[in-house]
Amino acid sequence: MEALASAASELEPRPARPARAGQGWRRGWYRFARNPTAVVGLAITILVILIALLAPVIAPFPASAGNFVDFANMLKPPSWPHVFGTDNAGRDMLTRVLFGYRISLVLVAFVLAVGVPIGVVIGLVAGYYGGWVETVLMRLTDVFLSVPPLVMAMAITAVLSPNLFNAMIAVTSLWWTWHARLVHGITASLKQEDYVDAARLMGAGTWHIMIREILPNALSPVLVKLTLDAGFVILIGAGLSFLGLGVQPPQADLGTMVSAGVTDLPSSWWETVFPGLAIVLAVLGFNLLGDGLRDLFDVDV
Amino acid sequence: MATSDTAARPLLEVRGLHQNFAVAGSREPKRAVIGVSLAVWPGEIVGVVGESGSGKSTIARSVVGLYRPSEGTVLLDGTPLPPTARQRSREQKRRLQMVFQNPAAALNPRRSIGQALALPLHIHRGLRGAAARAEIERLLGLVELPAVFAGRHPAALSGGQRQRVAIARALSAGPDLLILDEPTSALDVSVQAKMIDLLMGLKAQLGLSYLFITHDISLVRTIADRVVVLYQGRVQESGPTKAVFSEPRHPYTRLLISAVPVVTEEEAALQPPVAHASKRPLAPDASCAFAPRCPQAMERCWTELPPLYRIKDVKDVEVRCFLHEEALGDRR
Amino acid sequence: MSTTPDTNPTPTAQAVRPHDAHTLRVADLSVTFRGFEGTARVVDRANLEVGTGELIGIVGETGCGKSVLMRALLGLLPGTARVEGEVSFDGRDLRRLPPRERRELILAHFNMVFQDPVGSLNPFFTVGDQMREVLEQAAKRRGRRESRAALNQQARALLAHVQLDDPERVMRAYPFQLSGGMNQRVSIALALSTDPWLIVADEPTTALDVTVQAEVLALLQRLVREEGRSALLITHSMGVVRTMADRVLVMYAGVVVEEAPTAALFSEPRHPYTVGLLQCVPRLTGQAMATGIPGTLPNYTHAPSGCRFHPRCPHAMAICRERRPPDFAVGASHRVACWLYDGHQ
Repeated sequence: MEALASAASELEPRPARPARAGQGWRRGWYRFARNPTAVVGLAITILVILIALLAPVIAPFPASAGNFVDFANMLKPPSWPHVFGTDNAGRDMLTRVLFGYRISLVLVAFVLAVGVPIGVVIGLVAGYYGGWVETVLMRLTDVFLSVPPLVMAMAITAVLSPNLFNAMIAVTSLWWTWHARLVHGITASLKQEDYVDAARLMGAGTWHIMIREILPNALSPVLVKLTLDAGFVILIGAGLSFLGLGVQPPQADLGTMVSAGVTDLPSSWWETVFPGLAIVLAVLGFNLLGDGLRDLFDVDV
Repeated sequence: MATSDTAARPLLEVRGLHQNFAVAGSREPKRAVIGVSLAVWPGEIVGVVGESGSGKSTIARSVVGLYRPSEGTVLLDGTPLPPTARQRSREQKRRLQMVFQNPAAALNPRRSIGQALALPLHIHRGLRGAAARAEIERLLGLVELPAVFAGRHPAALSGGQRQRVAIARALSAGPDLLILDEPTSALDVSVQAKMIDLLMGLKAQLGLSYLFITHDISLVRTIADRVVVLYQGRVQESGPTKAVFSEPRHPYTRLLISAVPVVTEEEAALQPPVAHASKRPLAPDASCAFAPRCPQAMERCWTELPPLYRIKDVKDVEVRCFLHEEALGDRR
Repeated sequence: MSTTPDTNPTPTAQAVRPHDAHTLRVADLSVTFRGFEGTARVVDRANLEVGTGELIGIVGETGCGKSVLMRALLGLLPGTARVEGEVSFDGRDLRRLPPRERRELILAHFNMVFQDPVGSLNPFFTVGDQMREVLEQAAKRRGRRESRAALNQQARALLAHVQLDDPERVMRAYPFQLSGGMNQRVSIALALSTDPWLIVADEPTTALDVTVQAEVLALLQRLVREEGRSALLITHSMGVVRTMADRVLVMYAGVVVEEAPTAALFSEPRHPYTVGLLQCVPRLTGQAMATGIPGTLPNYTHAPSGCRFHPRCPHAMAICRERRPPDFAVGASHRVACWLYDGHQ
């Protein structure tokens, strides 16, 4: 009976295929759009990115982003014109939150732009060559993987001075490991595919096979993981700042703001809550988008 | 059709091929191919037929150098080939090409048809840019696909179309011999018919030879000049197709032919009657692998491995069976 | 078929009783899917009748709709499918029954054997586990509770019935430890465990070696004939239906183009598609096959007007482009959906 019951899966019949190139994108969008949470995730992600890019333009009180004090206005609750209230130096919270997104996304951009390619290359080489190359690279990856990111970040920023740049270095130095693992696994299985054998028979060299045959097929899971990573990096960056190891005041990082505001709870709740919600929103957006992409690519990540 | 009378030597010769694979958790390797020898003369089609476990796909990959043979040699036009594809020269790779079984898996889903075809053109014939594009169009035409397919990806093509692309790709290097590993097994019967027609046309047009691997006995009967029957890694019977099919000698060959679900009465008349066998356990290598299923098994079959006997008075037919112990030396 | 703790069964002795008589009638069944490019009519007004003790073959190439038709019969289509027409079991339209009742009816009288035994058997459980589970559920539906020992006995009996030597060893094995043929026999045993009237087999031997296929098909045939069951055999192989079926339906692009008793279909195929298909099959006699059927399968969202085969048909006439041909009778129980036979008696 299991057999009968389980047969209800699959089953959209595949009549003759679409004829035009470029239809792949439209079809992909059609499928993506059928998943409402994924679309919401995409919308939020776009919103967050736009905010980060346009912060200087749309912030109501740009000066609040930096070294600005106005003790007359300090700790005002959410009201007009300070829709998110003001902090203990009289700075507009909304502005600081908007600029906070900027810094968070810079962190994300750096970590992913540097960390992911490193991880991909290492994983690709390890997976393709196998043997001692694979052993060395993967054991190295394991070592780095065993260090918790926050601990590593604390160590690095303790040695160098605590600032945003060093925090980014710290996180990046560990972030590549997950992608290396992921790509290593995929490469190891892909290199047995028939089309790789076919390319080899055609006379293709190692370079061609790695870059042109295997890598493009390994990218979908990497892309999915990347979007999910973005949320994590924001959280870690916020965590570091919360501990005082990342961005230093008066720069407005979301984590720092939460940390600074904690002391004023529960009375001036807006100092903590709004930056906190901003973090939640960004992380949620990236995660929903990542989940949606994963469903779309039907990937095991 | 077989030009063994006019040519000096076979185009492809496999001598004593053994292919073993390590098995996890066991010291005994799996012996997928055991002492297989065969030859393909210029202009002929040799059909290798067998069921799962016969080793037929392994032979294809060993010959072409994707596996390093455990023992044995592969000769191209009399010259021994290096055991792996990596070690072979461009020229050697050019002459011996392969069409894989699963067209979906044999084409990189992320590369367009044009990109897939451009690779061998670039490597073997140094073509790029406009010259490559023109050649790609010509190749697609050879396999009766429209030129516009060059821009498409495999997912947009049907199984039959993908297989044509795979054939075009194999041809783009300009080979002399194609190894086709179950090229039509994944195709519907009408699509298969078209594909076979295409393959026969290409063979005539380009002067190719084929090593055609399949499980479909009727297909082998229809297109092959000579047939090699494999069971559990060893050759059980081989010879000119007509000779083998008009009088199948090995009990396994007879079983294969009788098992085919035929569509006409006249075919049914050609099928040997089905007989039953007593199943007893085997001693591998010291007995005939087919004995447990063989209706004519003798005591000897359980204790000795029969060699390949050459049949008297019939040209080129060999049978690995004690029932046919007729002089003329043996070959393992 | 099922043994009970009251009798004293040995693994090989079976009390076989002829099955109760039933009928299944499919009338004007159509299945439509809504997709990216529009709606696709994947099965177009199919008609089919299955009586007791009949082995019906449905043959057609990939995408002809035979699998969809089968799933429509069993109520296994996803929600995106729109089904029209009638599926009557003993005169009751299954499609109009409340879902619970329909499910009960289907579970009681039908069962399936799939193409890929390794795929349809759960790899994490032994054969014994799976058989016991199915037998237990079947018993529950009949209002009985069976002991584990009883279930084991029934399972062993079933496995012996499908000609597996050493049922005990098979019970303890996992599917990956068994060969393809053995797994398929286990699938058949599982299908028999509910004592179904109709066994639906979807390409049951396509994944098997030809020698094993012959044995499994012979087993299926025996089970049907000797036990008075009925079977629907879906396959792409003309040879298989010729060996197995009493009657054959040929499908093309969602349409049943020809239906006839097996002998008649093969000795006198009428529909141009059937003729073309037969000519493409490689022959043991070695004669060259036809070079294929010109053209390709139609796109179901933009299906050809009139007869769906007309773009590929060497005998296409004007009317074939305009109107879909009805079924014409061309012999005893032999019908063809082709304008060439209009007026033929």
